[in-house]
Amino acid sequence: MTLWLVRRVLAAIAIVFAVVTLIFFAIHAAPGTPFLPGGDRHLDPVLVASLRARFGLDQPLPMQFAHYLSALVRGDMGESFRLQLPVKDALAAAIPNTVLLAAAALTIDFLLGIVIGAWQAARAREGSDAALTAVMLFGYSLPTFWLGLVLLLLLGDWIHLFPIGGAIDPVFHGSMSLGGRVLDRLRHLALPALTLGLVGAAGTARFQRAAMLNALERAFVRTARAKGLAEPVVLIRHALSNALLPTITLLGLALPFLLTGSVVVETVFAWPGMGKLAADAIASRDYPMVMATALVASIMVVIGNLFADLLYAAADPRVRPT
Amino acid sequence: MTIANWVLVLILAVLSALVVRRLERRPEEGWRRFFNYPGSGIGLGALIFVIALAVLAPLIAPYRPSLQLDIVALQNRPPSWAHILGTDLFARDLWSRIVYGARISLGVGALAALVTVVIGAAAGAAAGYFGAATESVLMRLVDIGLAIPRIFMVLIVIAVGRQLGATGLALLLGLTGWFATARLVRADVLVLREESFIEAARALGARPWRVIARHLLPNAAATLIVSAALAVANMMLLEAGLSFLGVGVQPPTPSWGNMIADARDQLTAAPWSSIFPGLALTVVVMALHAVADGARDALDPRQGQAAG
Repeated sequence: MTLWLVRRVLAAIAIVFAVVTLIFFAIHAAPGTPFLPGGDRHLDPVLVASLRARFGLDQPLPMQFAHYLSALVRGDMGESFRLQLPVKDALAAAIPNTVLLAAAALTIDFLLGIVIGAWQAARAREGSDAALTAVMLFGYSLPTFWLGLVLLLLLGDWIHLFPIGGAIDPVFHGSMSLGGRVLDRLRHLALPALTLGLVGAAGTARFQRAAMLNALERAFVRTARAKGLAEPVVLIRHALSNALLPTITLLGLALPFLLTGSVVVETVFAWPGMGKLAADAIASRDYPMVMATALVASIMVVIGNLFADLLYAAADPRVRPT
Repeated sequence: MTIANWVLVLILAVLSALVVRRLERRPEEGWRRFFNYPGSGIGLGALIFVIALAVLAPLIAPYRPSLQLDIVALQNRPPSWAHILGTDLFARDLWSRIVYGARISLGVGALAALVTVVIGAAAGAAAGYFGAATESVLMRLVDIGLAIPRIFMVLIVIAVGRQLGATGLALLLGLTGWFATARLVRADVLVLREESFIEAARALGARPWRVIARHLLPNAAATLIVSAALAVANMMLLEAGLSFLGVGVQPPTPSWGNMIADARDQLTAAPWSSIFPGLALTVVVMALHAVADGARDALDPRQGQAAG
């Protein structure tokens, strides 16, 4: 178990390292690298050489890579062209917002998805199951940003249930009581989290339905029924608790979906997170920022997968390696 | 964007030929299973309808997509008999733009999916069949590829590169999207390569790539066809998302994604101009999912659980 854990963590580190390497070369491949001869403005070659030396661009590539790595380890990811401040600072402000959004969306995704999927499986082949299957199919076919716009229009603009953007009320947040501030944050969180959560829940429900159907066909369910247990006990204690195992793997898959979705959804709702940072950065070709957000997103995915694997091993002794 | 248009037609022809050929082995059985799955018949019908719209766009659309009609009288008009889906901020007929947009959205999705499935099939089959170092290298590449969320991978390339046209965008989406397909195909090939007909082919002296192309991949057709349908759906969604961010298909060429992006500032003044393109996209993605589910049931009875 320990050996497996060590190997699994090492593999995760190796993947992150590979992603870092890839990103380093992508930055190098960027055209318009400063101080190259033959640019559109003629610069004094002596000046160019001194500038290149000052920024370490005259060193061999492996040396530059080593410098890049050592800077990265210290959290230095360069300076954002657009914001004119260190990428590190911008990310530090944005990441908590994205984590909050992702956590809220995941909660909606899994709670709703598991309940609907299990409910469908318990009523398989009935009209309500078929109807829900169609609704779920519609749900996970929705483009997240478009669903965001529709919810914005319906719940934000027409019936004014939720604020239409941002993370806090720009005017009154400072003067609110603690409870009021929490409520204000939750109200702002509602629409983006719902947007991502609903689309995710549709996929989770579909998966959960299949897993639950599978569990319901197993011998232990028949045994439980034969013992005369009440149907809800059979469904929840026996079938659902076993059908939840495969759903754990979805946790690892949900993160790439959420992070990809966050780029467009945060843009729709002006949610000041990492996705919006990436979207704004791409609009102005602010590539240090794009690279940094991609790196952080990849690290999140790798950690999420590792976490899902560990959870699975903890929950199911059969897959636990010795 | 005529290239993508032709590619679209080509891919659909190849795909339907594959499906038909596959189904002909058990004609009634296969089609019955396909249409047994609730929604896949409707999905197929919807898909054919939208493809017909895209191919016949000049005949169907009442106006050219970028034609600005009377800017005073016809700006942001709601749906009416003259303009069934209304008009947008620039007094362009929304229905015409959606019909022409289908070409771009479907074309980009289909071309990107083609690239993805071809590379994914080749990489997955090579990894599964050759094993050893080939497998290690390819599968570690897949691990890395799956670790970077798709949109960020595409953004990295766009950030350091220049603005891409629709065809370039489709190729980029395809080149960065094959990792999951490769993993699925490899799993299929790992099982298939132990079969005696593969051994027989090898014993007859068939070269590795011949075994892969003639014996392994045709038997992984279920996986390939289903992943192709899902890939078209995913690519269309991704293209729409990128266009929404302003780095996908560039206006005035209409794609459903950039139509939504254009209409975003008019969300309250002219909601129809963002709602209809999104609805069109949802319908096509939904149809593709339904067809994929039906195809999975029809082509691979072993996994026939989707219908419940």
